[in-house]
Formats: sequence, C-alpha cells, structure tokens
Amino acid sequence: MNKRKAILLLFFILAILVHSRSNGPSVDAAGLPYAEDINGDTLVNIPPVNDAIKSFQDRIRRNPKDAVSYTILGDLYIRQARETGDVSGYQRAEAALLQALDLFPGYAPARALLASVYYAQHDFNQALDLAEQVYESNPNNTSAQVIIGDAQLSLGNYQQAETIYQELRKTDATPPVLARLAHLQELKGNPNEALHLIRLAAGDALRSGGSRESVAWYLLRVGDMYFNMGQIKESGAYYEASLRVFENYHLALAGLGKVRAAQGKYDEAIDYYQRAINIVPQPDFLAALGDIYMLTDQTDEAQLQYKTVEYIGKLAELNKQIYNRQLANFYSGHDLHVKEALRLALAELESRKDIYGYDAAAWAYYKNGKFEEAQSLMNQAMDLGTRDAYLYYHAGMIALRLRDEAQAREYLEQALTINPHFSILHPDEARTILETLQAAEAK
Amino acid sequence: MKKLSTIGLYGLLALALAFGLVAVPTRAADHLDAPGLTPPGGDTRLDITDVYAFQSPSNPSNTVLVMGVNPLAGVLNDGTFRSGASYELKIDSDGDAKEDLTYKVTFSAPDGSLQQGVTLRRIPAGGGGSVLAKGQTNQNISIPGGGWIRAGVFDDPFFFDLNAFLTVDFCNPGTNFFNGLNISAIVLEVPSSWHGSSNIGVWARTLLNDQQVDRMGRPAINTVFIPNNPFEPKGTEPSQKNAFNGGKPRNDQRDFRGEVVDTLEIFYGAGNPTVDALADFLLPDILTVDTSSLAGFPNGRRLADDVIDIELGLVTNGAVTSDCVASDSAFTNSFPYLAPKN
Repeated sequence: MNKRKAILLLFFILAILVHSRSNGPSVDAAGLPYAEDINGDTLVNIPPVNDAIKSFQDRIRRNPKDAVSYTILGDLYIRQARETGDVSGYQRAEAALLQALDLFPGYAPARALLASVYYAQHDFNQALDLAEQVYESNPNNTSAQVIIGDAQLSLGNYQQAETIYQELRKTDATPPVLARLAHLQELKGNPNEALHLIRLAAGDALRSGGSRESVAWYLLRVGDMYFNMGQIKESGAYYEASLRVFENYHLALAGLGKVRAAQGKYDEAIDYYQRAINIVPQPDFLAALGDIYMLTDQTDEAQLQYKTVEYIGKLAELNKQIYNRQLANFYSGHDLHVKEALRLALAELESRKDIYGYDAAAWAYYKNGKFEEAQSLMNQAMDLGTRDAYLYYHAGMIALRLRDEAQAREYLEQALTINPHFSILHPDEARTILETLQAAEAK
Repeated sequence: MKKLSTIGLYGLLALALAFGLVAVPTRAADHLDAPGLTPPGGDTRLDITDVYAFQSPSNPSNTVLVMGVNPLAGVLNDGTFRSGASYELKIDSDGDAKEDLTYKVTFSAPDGSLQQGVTLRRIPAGGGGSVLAKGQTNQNISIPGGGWIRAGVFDDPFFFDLNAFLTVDFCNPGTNFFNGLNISAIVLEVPSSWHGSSNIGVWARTLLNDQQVDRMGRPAINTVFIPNNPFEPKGTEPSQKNAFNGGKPRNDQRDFRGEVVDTLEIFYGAGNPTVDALADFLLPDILTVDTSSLAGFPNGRRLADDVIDIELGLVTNGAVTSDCVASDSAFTNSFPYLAPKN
C-alpha cells in the first residue's frame, strides 16, 4: 500500500470510529393522538441552556483551540436566543462560530450553523450563499440543504424551495421535513393537505421522543393550521396540548390568547397574552394584547402596548432587521405612521419578494391612499392561491376603494368563510362592509 | 493535501451528527420556521454510542458488557433512559450471527429526582424468559446467581483528539476532546458460563414500540459504509441507514455487503482481494470476544482500549502509531468499572 493510500485509509478508519457514535435511531411516521391525550410524558428534558453554555465556556477556557467546543457553544447560543426571544443570542452565536472557523476554516458544521444564524437574523441572502457553499462541497449535508430551502422560501422562490424539500423527503421524511412541506401546502392554498402533513410530523415527533420544545412546536403548528381554517375549538385543544408538553411555551400561550379572543373570552385572552409577553415580549403579542384592550374599551392600556411594540421594534439594529415587517404591518393595521409603514415594507420587498412581503407593501400603499399600486402588489401576494383570510380581507378592501364592488364582496366573503376570526379588530368591520355590499346588490 | 482535508471534513460532518450539532432545532424569531433536522429517530436516549465486552477485571469467570447511549448527556438531554423502550444486549454463542441469549433492560418513567426503576430480564433464544433483577438507576443491583447491573450517567469512556483530527495536526500536543463529557450507560456483569461458550459475539440494540431503533456491534459500520455515506462512490443515493439500524446481523452479509465493498474499493481499488477479506470481517456487525482471555480489542473491547491507536497502527502498517491521546478516565477495577459522571 503506498503512503498516500495508507493515509487516506487512516482517515477513513478514524471517520468510521468517530462516525459510529452517530448511528441514530430510525422511526416511521405515525398518526397523531387526540389533543386531549397528549401530555409528553415520554419526552426528553433538556437541561437549562445556561448551564450548558457555562460548561462549554469552561472547556474553551481550558483549551482555547477547541474549534468543536466553539461550534457547540454557537449552537447553544442559538438555542438560548430561541428560548428567551433575546435576539442578541444570535450575535453571540455568530461570534463563537466565527472563532471556530478561524481555528478550522473549512469546518462544515460550523459553517452550516453560521448560515442558520444568518437566516435567524433575517439575512436570507447571506444564509443562502453560505448554505449553498457548504452544500456544494458536501452534497450529503442535509442541514445545509434545509437552510437553502428555508432561505429560498423566505425570499419568495417557492419553486426552488419545493424542489429541495421534495428531494429531502425522499431520503429524510422526518418531522422537520414534513413540517416544511406542510407550510408549502399552506402557502399553495391546500390547507387540508397542509394539516395532514403537519399532523404526521407532530405524531412522528411525539412518538420518536424529541425534545419537549420541538414537539411543542409541531403541536403549535397543528393549532395554527386549525385556527387559520376557522376551526377554533380544535385549534385551542392543540395549543393546550403544546403547553402541556412544554410548560410556559410563549408561542402556545399567545396561541391560546388568540383562541380565547376569538371565543369572546377577553379576560382569559388578556391573561394568556400577558403570560406570553412576560416570557418573550414579541411585538406581535404586544399588538394583539393592545387590540384586545382596545376592543374592551381599555384605551390607555391599549396605547401602552402599542407604544411598546414600537419600542421593541426599534430597540436595536438587529431587532429592526428581524421585526421590520411586523412593525410595518402593525403601523398599517393601526393607522399609525403610515408613511413609515410604506417605507419599511417597500425596503423589505426590495430584498425579499415573498407573498407576505407583497401583502405588507400592498396594505401600506392602501393606507397611504394609493389603491392602484396596492392592487397591483396584492395580486402578486395572492399569486400562489394561499387560503389566508387576511390576504382576502386586504384584497377586498382594496377592491372596494377601487369601486369594484363585486370583487370586493367576493373577497370579503372568502375572508369570512376561510376564518371568521381571522383578526381581533377586523372581522366585524369586514362583516359590516359585506352586509352593506350585499344589501346594495339586493336593491 | 487538498484530498486529505476533504476527507477530514467528511469525518467532521459525521461528528456534527454524533454530537447532535444538527439535533437541536434552530429557529428564527418568526415562529413559522421549522426545527432543524433532528438525529434519525429524534431521541438521543435511544442512540447507541459505544459497545464494550471484556473479561471482568475483578472476577475472571465473569464477563462485562457495556452499552452507552445519550451522547453529551446532561447537555442535549437529562441523562435518563427512555421509559417504555427496550435496551438489549445480545449474545451469539455459536457463531451463526443469531442471538442465543438476550439481556433486556427496561426503565420506568423518571421521578422528580430523575431516578428510574430498572428491570433486567434474561431471554433465551426461543423467547419467554424471566426477570433477573430489579432496582433503581445509579445503584449497583445484584443479580441472583452472580453478577451486577448498574444503569446511569457516567463519564464518557471514549477518548480521541477530535480537534487534531479536524486540523490534521496530531500530537501537538494531543488533547482528549471527550474529557469531562458524559454518557448514559448500562453496565452488566454476569458469569461467562451463562453463555455456553467462551467465544461469543455481542451486539446491542434499542427498541421502541417493538421496533428496532438502533443497533451496534463493532465501533461502527453504519454511517460510513451504508448510504448515504461520506465515501459513497455513486455520490448521493437514497439513505439505507434506517434499514441498517433496523436490520439483523444475520442478514448483514446479504443486505449490506455490496455497500461495504463499493466503499472499500475506493481505497483498495476494484478486484483487490483485501476488499473481500475485509468485507468478510466487517459484517455481520458483531463484536467478537473470547471471554477466557484478558486481551482487549480486537478481542472484544475494553474501556481503556485505545481503539484509535490500534487502528492507526494497523492501517498504516506501523507508520503512525498514536494520536497522542490516552484515556484520562478514572476507570476502576471493580464494578461498575466506568468513571463517575463529571
């Protein structure tokens, strides 16, 4: 055996030895139990992320050349950011991963994680570039493949995203991949297929016993999809299941707030939103809480929440990057700073042409009285046929201002058919307008 | 040199999986972003890290069997075992790659202090069997008729300079990456006479809902030989890893020999007789051990066996003999032999 071959074989054997530790388990897909029967007793408890961070910081202090520990630390900071909603965790993750790459420039796991950090920071183009580089040199790196798909989806390149997700499904039909396919079906206006896929994903995740937080996320998405289809009771049951699986899960708490508001149980809704906000003060939670206060004539409380939305949205550069669309929608939805809303929405549409980017810009144009521009962008937002009540409501209102009453009536009817509870503030308005339109036509 | 770093990189990708680097869901502030890819099966508690088999250092007529799970215990998980799942150590006494005896371990749900009930069963080839011992995790449980079982969190006995491997810079000076890390393990010591022969084959498997989730014999075959592996000559092809994890050793030659051969041919060239000889040795994926001998790897595997150094020496024909890392675990000569958790 010549020396070169011997060295290659040596690395090969080492790879085998080390690789052996990754022989993960295999599990097939299964149905999802009734929401009431889900408690997550068999799921794994992950120790507090701060303890893990400390132990890996100590490891690095002992061996500052430990690129692998820097990479794991980066991953832990990502988890910290996700659990606490404090997006500065992504900056710490980025710093740790860059250290790892400084020590070992080609380290694919660190590069793939760094791409996911860029994605989390809504820098979709940089995420896509880096993930594509990783995937090109490592065609078996499914993590990079997932990030490419997610970034394409966020950039509005739906066909490219679907191609990647379908490819992943062939080799890796696991809950993360099924959940992505479910979201695609949701966007393409096939809510029943989407629900089927997300239920499959949730059932599989529950059976195979991942972390409580990840299983709770799948259950949350089941709840979301029921809600968006107007099936409020089922939605609430899965949000409750999600909360049983992962205690104090801020997204499930906010989901229940949304459900209770739809059921007219405003005190309970306020309580759930307050609990969610105490854990993670996300701008969309604050805006929803403000809306419920508004609806129940607690104007001062409402204004306080609305002011906090603006504050959080502008707190740091990174917050601006992550929350600018939410802020634009908040401004448009509450007739506040509508010029700024349009500026924010158009700036984002420059870099990211997905359907909700078109929707945000269309609605901001509408609020600025530019109905032709609004309609042109709204058509793009509805291009995929997404069955989202909000999109139909916006399209209906735009048509109304353009004096296309028949079209307006059709869109508003659709909005209320898809989900009569699509928004805390607007369904009544939509219903009133619709009744007026129907009455006018009857004459 | 370029080729070398590429190979090194692939090994690292493997490590990414091994350490769950892609196991933790990654999500942006937008909650529509789905979790990142999870390890196959999604539960590190069923993920086997290593299997050891050796003559007991404290009683030469006993055999010690160790099955590790839960890589990075305490970081990725709380170090418990999955209740409702089965953890099995299989013994083949006559070399036909079929189990003649199974030690099956199950656990109750953890209580508030993460203690779990442990039940050990001994199941003969024909099925049936009986409870051998019962007790709690993190305690030595004595087995009537001789021996002990203990299940709990321990120091990870594996040792290797992972960062040196990444940067192709061994012995500068050599640092054990696994120092200070933990796994969960089941340690079983039983009379060797129970196995009917001193020459036995050993493998471990985990089951959930009567379905096999993972299995392992030798320091691992699956991820490198079985598609999609880093050295797959055909490039990307559909994964057979779940099929391997769910498979039986007795079918390994039939089902997976082709995959082992096509990977080995990359290194040896097609038609090289060494390829066939190695494929005969590597499959079925069973750890063979003569329990009448105190010798270690490749006779079974002892905790302190430097599997990496042994392989280095074998493969390079003595040119490279060490990664300059030795075990730094405080193994003991008495049960349960593994070092306490860090």
